[in-house]
Amino acid sequence: MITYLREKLDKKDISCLELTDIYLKRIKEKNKKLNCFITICDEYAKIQAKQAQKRIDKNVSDILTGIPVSIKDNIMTKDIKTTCASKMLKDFLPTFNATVTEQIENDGAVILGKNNMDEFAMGNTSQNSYFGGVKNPYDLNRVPGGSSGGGAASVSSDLCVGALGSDTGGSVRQPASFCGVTAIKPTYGTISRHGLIAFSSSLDQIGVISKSAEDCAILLNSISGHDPKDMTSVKRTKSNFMSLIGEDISKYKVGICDEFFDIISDDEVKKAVYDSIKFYEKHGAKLVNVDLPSMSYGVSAYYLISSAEAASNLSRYDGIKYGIRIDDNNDYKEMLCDSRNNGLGEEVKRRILLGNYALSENNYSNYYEKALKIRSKIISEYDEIFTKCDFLITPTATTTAPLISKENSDPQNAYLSDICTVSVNLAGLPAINTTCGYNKNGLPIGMSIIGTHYDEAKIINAAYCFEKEFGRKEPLI
Amino acid sequence: MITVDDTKKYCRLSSLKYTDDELYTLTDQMNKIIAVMDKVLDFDENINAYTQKTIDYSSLRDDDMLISPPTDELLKNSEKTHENRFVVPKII
Repeated sequence: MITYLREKLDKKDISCLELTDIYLKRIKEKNKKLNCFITICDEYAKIQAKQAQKRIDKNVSDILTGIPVSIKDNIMTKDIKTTCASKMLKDFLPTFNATVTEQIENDGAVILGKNNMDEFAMGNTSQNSYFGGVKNPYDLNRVPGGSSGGGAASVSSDLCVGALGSDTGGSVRQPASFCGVTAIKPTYGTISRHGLIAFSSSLDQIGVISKSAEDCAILLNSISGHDPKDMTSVKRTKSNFMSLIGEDISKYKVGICDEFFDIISDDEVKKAVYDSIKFYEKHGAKLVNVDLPSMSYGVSAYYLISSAEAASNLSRYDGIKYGIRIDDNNDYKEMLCDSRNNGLGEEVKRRILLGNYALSENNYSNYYEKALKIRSKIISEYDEIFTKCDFLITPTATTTAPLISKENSDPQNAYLSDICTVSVNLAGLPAINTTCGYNKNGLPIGMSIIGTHYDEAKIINAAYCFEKEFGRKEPLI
Repeated sequence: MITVDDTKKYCRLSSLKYTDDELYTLTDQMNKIIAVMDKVLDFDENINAYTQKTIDYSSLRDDDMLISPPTDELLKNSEKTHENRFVVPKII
């Protein structure tokens, strides 16, 4: 899509402003139903489009110049509200741009708006938002996944060409699976997190969502690279994520890990992913059986580590340094509790409580320390796996998009449904989701291609080759 | 299993406040969540995960010592200063 639009813009078949207007008009029409944007940057997008047009007219455009994108509302955008979908930050205007915002703007992309999400990225349905839940474009009665559900729904419905999201435990891959689009979470440290509002610092990573692996590679090329402002940003030569696109896949060894399939009760999901594995076999790739014995501990380890880190990271929302202040009692402790109670949603509060439970003196060694050991074990098991294969193919989610209902909102069940994605974050690995089928109701099914550290180009090519043969069904909305 | 009093303690640690009725519901929810987390208790401690190969630290940046920026330059960022220090506005 990006290369197609690039050609149209460079040939002046369409101007940047015309293209931006088309997308803004679509957003205004469809966002009423989908609720995938919290802020629409109408005026700002038009200013950026005019600047992009000047670059094209002077023949100094980059590949993203004039391309309409959206940004998750936990990534800082200077002078544009960045709410994290929380009442706590509902009026927060950042005074600086996140590094990724800066990078994508420098390449000339047009920012159409800020995407809705689960509050502070805590959730996998995009229903935990102060601004109301996001709907799935394939079925408005279903969740779009989360926490980057707004980004996935907006890409799926053609409300933007690409979206920047964040992925702490599957938050770009799982919504991409539910909304029938492509999304990649790169290796931890590949993209600067400076300006990403912290949830769980050892797991958070910015990712991209678009309609194809090729577009994901283009967006990654724009936003990756070392950033001295982020101490976890890895100092290494900037990769070209397009470098392996079109490479012969017959030389690849594809890992199949039964632990991922044994937990899937939805036969349609299982069949679609197995069928996609056959695609690689048909093209000459060798299939290899591998094991991830500690996978069953992944969800608990992930939630203990991420909640412990969240409890610390979110202590800054005290009504003084950040966030709304409820100051009825003229007492510091009362003000602190009232502000947090009033400003934070129920799921966020549950995670903070779980984090403090895990970190408390009596539970530290039984829960938090054990979770760290499990994390190390999972890393070593993945290391072993990648001595035997180039990448793994797994389901991205255990089901297709579930219905929006109270029964589906029990926290413990929601946590368990993250089992296919969280181990990737615990190990800091790159993984890409692409659509590999549709169930009998027409809902998309996603598969994940998981690679070893810094092997994004290979998994992007694996997804690209699959997408070339697989036909995508457009959503109803 | 945690009790309502335990939940009260964790709420205090988290700077959160609930009514007594809310605390009962929350305790019930927390117990269901902790039951999921209890899976980690089954993990075999005898596997020394820390000694196994984990991450390649050679790709991390060097631990260089850098010269701090001049104090005057930093103080320019503050609205008010006193004896080479930032003056933080009174909040409460």
